[in-house]
Amino acid sequence: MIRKILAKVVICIVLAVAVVWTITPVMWMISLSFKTYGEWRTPSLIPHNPTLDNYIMLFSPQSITTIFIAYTAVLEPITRPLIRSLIISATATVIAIIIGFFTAYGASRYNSPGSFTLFFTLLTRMLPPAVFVTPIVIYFTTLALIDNIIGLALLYAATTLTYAVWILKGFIDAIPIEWEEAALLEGASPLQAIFKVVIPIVRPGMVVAGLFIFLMSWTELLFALVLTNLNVPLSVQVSKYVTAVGALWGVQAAAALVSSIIPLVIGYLIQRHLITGFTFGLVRG
Amino acid sequence: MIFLELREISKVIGDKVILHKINLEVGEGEIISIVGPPGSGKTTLLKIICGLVAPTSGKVYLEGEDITNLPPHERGFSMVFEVPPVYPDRTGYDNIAFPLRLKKLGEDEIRKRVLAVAELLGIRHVLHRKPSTYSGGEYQRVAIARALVTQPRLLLLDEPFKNLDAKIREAMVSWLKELHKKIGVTIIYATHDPLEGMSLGNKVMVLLNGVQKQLGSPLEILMKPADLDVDDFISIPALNVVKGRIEECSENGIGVTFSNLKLRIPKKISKCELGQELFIAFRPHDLIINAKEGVSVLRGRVININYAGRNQLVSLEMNGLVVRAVVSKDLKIGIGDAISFTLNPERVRLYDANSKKLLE
Amino acid sequence: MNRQEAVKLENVTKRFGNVVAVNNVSFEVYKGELFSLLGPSGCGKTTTLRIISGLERPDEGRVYIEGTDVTELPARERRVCLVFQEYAVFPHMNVYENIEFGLKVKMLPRAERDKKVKEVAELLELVDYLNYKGGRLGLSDQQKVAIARCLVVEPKLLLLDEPLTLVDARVRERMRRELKRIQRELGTTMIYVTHDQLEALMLSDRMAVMRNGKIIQIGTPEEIYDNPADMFIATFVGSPAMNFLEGVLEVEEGMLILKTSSYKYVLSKSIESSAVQNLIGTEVVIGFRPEDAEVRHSGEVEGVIKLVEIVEDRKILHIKINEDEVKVLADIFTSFTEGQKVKVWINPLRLHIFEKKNGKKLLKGVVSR
Repeated sequence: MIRKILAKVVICIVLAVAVVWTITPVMWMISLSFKTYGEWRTPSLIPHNPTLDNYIMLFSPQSITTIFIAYTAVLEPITRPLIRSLIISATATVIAIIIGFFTAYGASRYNSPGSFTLFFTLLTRMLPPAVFVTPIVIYFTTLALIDNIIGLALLYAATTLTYAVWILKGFIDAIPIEWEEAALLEGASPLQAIFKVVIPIVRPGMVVAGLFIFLMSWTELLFALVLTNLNVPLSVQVSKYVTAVGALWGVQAAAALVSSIIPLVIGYLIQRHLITGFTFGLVRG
Repeated sequence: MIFLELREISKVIGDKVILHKINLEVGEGEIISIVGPPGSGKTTLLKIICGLVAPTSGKVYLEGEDITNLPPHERGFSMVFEVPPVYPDRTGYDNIAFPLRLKKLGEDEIRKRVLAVAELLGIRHVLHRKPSTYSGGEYQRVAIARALVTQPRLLLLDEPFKNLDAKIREAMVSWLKELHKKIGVTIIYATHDPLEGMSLGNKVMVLLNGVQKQLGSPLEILMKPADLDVDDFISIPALNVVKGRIEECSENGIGVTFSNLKLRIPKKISKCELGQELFIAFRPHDLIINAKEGVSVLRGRVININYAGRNQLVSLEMNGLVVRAVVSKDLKIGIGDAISFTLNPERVRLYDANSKKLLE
Repeated sequence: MNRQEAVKLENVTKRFGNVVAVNNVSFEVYKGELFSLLGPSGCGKTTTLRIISGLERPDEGRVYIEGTDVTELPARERRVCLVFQEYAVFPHMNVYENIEFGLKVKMLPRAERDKKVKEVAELLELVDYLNYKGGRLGLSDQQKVAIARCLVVEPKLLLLDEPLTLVDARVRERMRRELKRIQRELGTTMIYVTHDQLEALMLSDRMAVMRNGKIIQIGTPEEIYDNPADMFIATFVGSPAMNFLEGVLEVEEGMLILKTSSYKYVLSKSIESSAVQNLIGTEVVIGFRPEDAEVRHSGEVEGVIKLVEIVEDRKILHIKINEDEVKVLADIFTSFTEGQKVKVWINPLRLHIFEKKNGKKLLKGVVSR
């Protein structure tokens, strides 16, 4: 009996440590975003003089006339990178899901483009992305896509495509081919069978893959840093508050918070789909 | 009038023969059962009939017209697959309405037809529900409703009840038979279970390894299986087969020996040769227990009993040979008991030892 | 007979959320017997088995194995073995290694392992397959290997959860016979879960019928088949299912009559038992099995054949008697045709009388022998 209680106590301690470990940085970030400049480097979790200055700085840097004035010239309001990031991530997601679905369909139903090629696309994702930076910069310079948000969207679509294919292939594999054949028998064209049978059924899968790709595009930093100059996405913008001139810790924390709100809202809105997506029970015994 | 005809249908994929020269004539309103073990080519044959798979050679005729190359949806057939096409993302109503919407019928007409077929199959209560809430029987009935709502000329069913509980499967087979009586649609039904196939079909095709072994009424197949393989396949509980030799040919029958036992069978075969080797086959149902003494009476010791409700399945051992018998539930026996029995001469079948063909 | 208890369940209840999966279930299984839990999908039979195995903990009640309370004991310490519906055979190991696996885990010496593996392989007729890889075996042989893996560790209890459901009809028939033989030769206590009534009848020494989480009857297969406790069991066990006629019992000219909405059935020429006497005038449901009736040249009940089906060695005649419909078995070589008028005789010794309100059994047989 004592052994059992002891085991429970140990489990509770381990869980508590895990919770603190994951929650603390987030709490710290929230706290920091409400602190005044003087407090940024003090180790207290509760701000002594809560202020919205960091957020004002974020959304309209020009309105600030305090000690931050040295930075305002180089910073644009965060709304602009926010909108850029939304366009980039949404475009990348839509392109990757559309192309990914049809590739996955071919892979599942006709074993095209062949299992090796399919596996190979996954292999490329195992290399460190830094390997690709130089060739990509050369391509983008040639195509005049540097500092172009559509260029970045295309790049993200291309790099995340393989995930879309693999996730969707799993979902399509679970749909018996007979379900399409039944529609064919009833007068549907092969394309109709895809649009009226397969797509409605794999919709939860598309939502799952889409969210995944959206998040990857949203948080990508390396390529964004190298390939943009003035038209920076949100991830780059967040990094900009800590510069060679000085570090605006509080503003960066506020920026990080703002940039994590969008995925949270999207995640909340589609969580119903997520649940059906993860429990994809098709055939009853 | 022949409704549907298959002439010399073969299907070869790579160097594997899936189907070999299948011939079948179906009259309008018939139920044909295609029985064969898993992997014998039943599904491929159904898909060839409905046009989802093209045969390597051979022709399919519908009312005398060659439809081999007609695309599937122009044939006006419906098929219910082993994994029935009931889509999980939409309600029963939308599932059944699916083929009608493809045909771009008006919503009023669709509604009328969906309700009519749902009434006929007794599934009105599931129309507004999604498939995840259905019981096994409801699931299958929605699939059949969807197949029937287009008023097909031919209904192809591929093991539609395979995944159901035994008791529900039985009920569904009876239900299907009654439904067929009511609406008279022509049905081709594929199953791995010979008993199910024979209880349903008015004609049965036995398909073994892609070869059409026999086509006939259930009784013909039960009484005169074309060869030993057919007899062995259709017998449940498993057929008793012993190898023997002809010892006597006379006017009133033949005498055979097997495992040092003698048996006289009052039955004539066209070519009776002394010393000829053959297989003697009889079903467990065809043993007559506690027979009076006589030449053809055999003796065995009970080694296993399986009670089965209306009867019991008994394994008997004699001279190292194990014979299975189905006996009445009223017979009181125990393990180790000695039992005498004889074979119903009408129902003993002899097969050539080499060709396995039935000897008549 | 000295019957030692192998397993005992005492008032076991298990809930999943609001659903009561197992509702106050109690039964005993004796040493060396094969006990079946039979019921339709979702009746709680698998959950009961999982509770015995220790994979599931009951919310209430106790579980005893060989007299010891094991309710709190984890599965691995109970010395029970479970065979699942899906095959638990390692595809990359050969049959020998598969069977040997459990012994290796227990770190038995090689010679002893070898001896035990060969014994079990012999018993299950797997000797010729010992070098086959698990993935190469057919479905039924895989299931045999799964059983062998269980038997070789000599469990106190072998639990089988619908092991033959996925096997095709012919092979299933063979496996039923073999399982019964193996069980008899080994004398291992087995608990067998199935939805197939024929399987339960053929394999069990005793069986329990479950419905909605409750056990409604326990008995030998003969008891359950010949004397079902209510109309549900009467329908569920036996194939083709029992016939039912709903009506009022009456007496006319000394004969016992069942008056349904459309017909008068003479059940017997005289009324001998007082039990029957007490039921006169009440609304009842009469049940009789299709094999306990016959189509004859003469008889009291007249009907028309609606449908002829062939099942196994029998014909099933669906006979319409005015508004009622009954099934009667006939020899397969008889020449009955649909539309033919026939007379039906129902064996009065094997009539079951059920209460109309709740389907409970009142009486069997309306005449004494």
